[in-house]
Amino acid sequence: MMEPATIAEASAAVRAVAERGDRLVICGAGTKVACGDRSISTRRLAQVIEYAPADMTITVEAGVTLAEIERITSADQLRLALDPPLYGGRATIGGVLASNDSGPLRMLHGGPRDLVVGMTIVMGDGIVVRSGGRVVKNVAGYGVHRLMVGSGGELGMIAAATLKLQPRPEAMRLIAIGMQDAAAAESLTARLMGGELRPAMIEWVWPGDRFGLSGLAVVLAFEDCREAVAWQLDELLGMDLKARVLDEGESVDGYAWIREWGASATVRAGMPSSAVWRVFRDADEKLALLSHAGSGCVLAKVNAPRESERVQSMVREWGGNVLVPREYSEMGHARLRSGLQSALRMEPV
Amino acid sequence: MTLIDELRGICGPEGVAADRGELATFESDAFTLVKARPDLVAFPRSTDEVSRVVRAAVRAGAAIVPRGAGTSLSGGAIAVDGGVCVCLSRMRRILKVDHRDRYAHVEAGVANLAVSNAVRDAGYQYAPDPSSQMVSTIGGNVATNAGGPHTLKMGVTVNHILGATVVLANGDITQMGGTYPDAPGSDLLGLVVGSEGTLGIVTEVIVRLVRIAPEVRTQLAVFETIDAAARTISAIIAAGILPAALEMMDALTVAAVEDWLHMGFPRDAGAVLIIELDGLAPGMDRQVARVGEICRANGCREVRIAATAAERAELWKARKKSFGAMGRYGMSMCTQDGVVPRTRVPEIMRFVAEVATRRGIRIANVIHAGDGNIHPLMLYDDRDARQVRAVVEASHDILRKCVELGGTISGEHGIGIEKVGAMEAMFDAESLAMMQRIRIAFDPGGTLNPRKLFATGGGCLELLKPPKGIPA
Repeated sequence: MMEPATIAEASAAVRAVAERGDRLVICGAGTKVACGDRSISTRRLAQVIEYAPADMTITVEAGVTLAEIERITSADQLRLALDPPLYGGRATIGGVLASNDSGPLRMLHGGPRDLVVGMTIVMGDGIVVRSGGRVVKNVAGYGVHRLMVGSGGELGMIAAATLKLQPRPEAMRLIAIGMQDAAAAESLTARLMGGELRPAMIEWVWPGDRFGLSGLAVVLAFEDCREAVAWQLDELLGMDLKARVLDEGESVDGYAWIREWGASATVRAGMPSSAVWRVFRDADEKLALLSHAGSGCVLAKVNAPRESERVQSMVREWGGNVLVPREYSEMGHARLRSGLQSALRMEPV
Repeated sequence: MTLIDELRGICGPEGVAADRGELATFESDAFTLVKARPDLVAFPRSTDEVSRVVRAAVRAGAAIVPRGAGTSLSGGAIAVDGGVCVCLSRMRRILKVDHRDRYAHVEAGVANLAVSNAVRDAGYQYAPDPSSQMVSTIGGNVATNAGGPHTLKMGVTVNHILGATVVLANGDITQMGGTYPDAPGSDLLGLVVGSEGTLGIVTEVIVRLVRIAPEVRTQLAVFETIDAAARTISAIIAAGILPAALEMMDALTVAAVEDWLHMGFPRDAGAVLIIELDGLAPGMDRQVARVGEICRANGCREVRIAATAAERAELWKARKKSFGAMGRYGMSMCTQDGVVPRTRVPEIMRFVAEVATRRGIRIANVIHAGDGNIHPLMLYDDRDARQVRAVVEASHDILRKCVELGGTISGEHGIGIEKVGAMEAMFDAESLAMMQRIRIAFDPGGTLNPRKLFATGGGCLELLKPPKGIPA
């Protein structure tokens, strides 16, 4: 396995692979794509190129971990509002972008596509190219940095990226609500989506024991100034619900638990938010499910391959897409995708 | 069968414009420095008709120029090489609104504001709000990845697009994305947004709807200098406040607005800021007060808070009509669209002032200051070739400086034909070649919106040259 430490080394390593006629396999920390002996890891591309808190941007090499970005930005009360699992601190920004991973904040702040404003890419022939830039608003040239989101290495190596940051909210609290069944959870979610409250995340957790609830739990987070968070919690407590507000410490821990849940999920899917309840309706004790329901992301942990198939077929039946496990056959646009691969000097997969 | 007959067969007899008078309307867009007439304009009524028009044009070897409302400020809709202009103005149906899943499925010719109007009563909006939003179309907004004054908090067009139906250069109809985020694989939709009609014609769009903020507070802060106003912006952001909008107008703009609208703006101000906060009502008073303190601590002379919705509308009218106010000086106008990191706004404004002096033109400034997106508005006499040239050169001076300061040559207007010459300041040759190859992957024949985005034999200055034989 090659582990270049600079973008120039990465460029040379990729060129060497191309000259040998080998297939290029790129990995980050190996949390999603296993790093084998023929692969190039971005793990050591770990330089923070520019952190500009007053401009609310950060430019990092691909191997910088999300945990590191979190550490740097929190010193200025900023954050990258992109919260896929941290994989115990190992997940790299390059891996997150290439796998289009996201988390509970997806609903309000968008996914990787919405937060990446520029990128440095090593193409399949080793040549280094750029798109976008370091400012938050930029329409010059094609949004190749957006194209690379979800590309899973098939369009080249993400070597560095510039990301938009946001102020960290003044207050954050979770509230856990016990649900009779999936239909009741859908009715609450629908009410919240069209109501006066502004939950920052709407999480469905099955089973809900982590939050002291026996069946299905809906866990909401409110992030805002202190007054707005307090008001929203009061409003919710005024509804006829089995709800418990978590204190500050519990909220931080509960959010971290929800966020990390996906690290051990074997299925990740996207579907219409209004269809999530149909998957949960059929859940039984063989399955553990978690959904960032406001954005329609469904995660599942299963014990047997048969169970995985079952979740995947439910997702498809209700109009969703399975994102993990990754299936090239489901991506469509075969002609365009292979054209893009040759544009970026990659051998077709 | 001739192309015109074929297009009439597809779009109906009234669906094709071919005579000189009709075509004159389509010889430019909101970028008025260059004019070029398409040979034909087709007005398809459906995605299927767009596909058939594209196939017919390709067979005839004609260039295809997609067009929405023609509000491009960079010449993106000008038929530089003639050919068929495909105008989507008859595709203006809102096909579906889904409040539960927060999206609207619309045809590309629907005006931006029409989407928000259709969902407002239910408490939703389509967030991107370019100043042209009354007329500019969703399809055009997608093509340019349009912005607007509220992008600081809400993001730009691409952040609000879930799916699109795209007619490719060979006439194939394809669907990208859908009604919910994150389609599998690399993000083709994210690439098509902002591609200025060079990768396909967007015919239908699924846009994300967001809840309208229940509370909005708008204030006007008056400063002696641009530097003081810019410092205030940094201080607001450092305080952890993310306003919905942070707009700056310079002295010349304020004076023009005041001459026209008589709103009681201080004529001697160096710069004014419009600062808008939105969100839930609890805690809003504290945030507004905090912004006021920050303004005063940074040398603000006066803060006015809009007390009513009408007063708020007045403040925005001043901002959105500022270009119109300049029109009263009876001169032609050309606006630029550079971006610098927001902390470099004072530097770029000093540079713009120098350029104005050096090139001998008047430049007023309206700035999406929260994003560092500057709009120098250059006033000139379009009958004077020397002045026209000075405007183009001043534009390039300013855009190159934006890049030097770590920014870009376009924040929201697009490259079009206007800024193709500046692309090499932004990207190296390898990156431009890669983008060109992407274009070819989508459109091997180079049929779609030729000579836009990338320089292929001469940029804007080239197009400005008078025809041979006519002395300049």
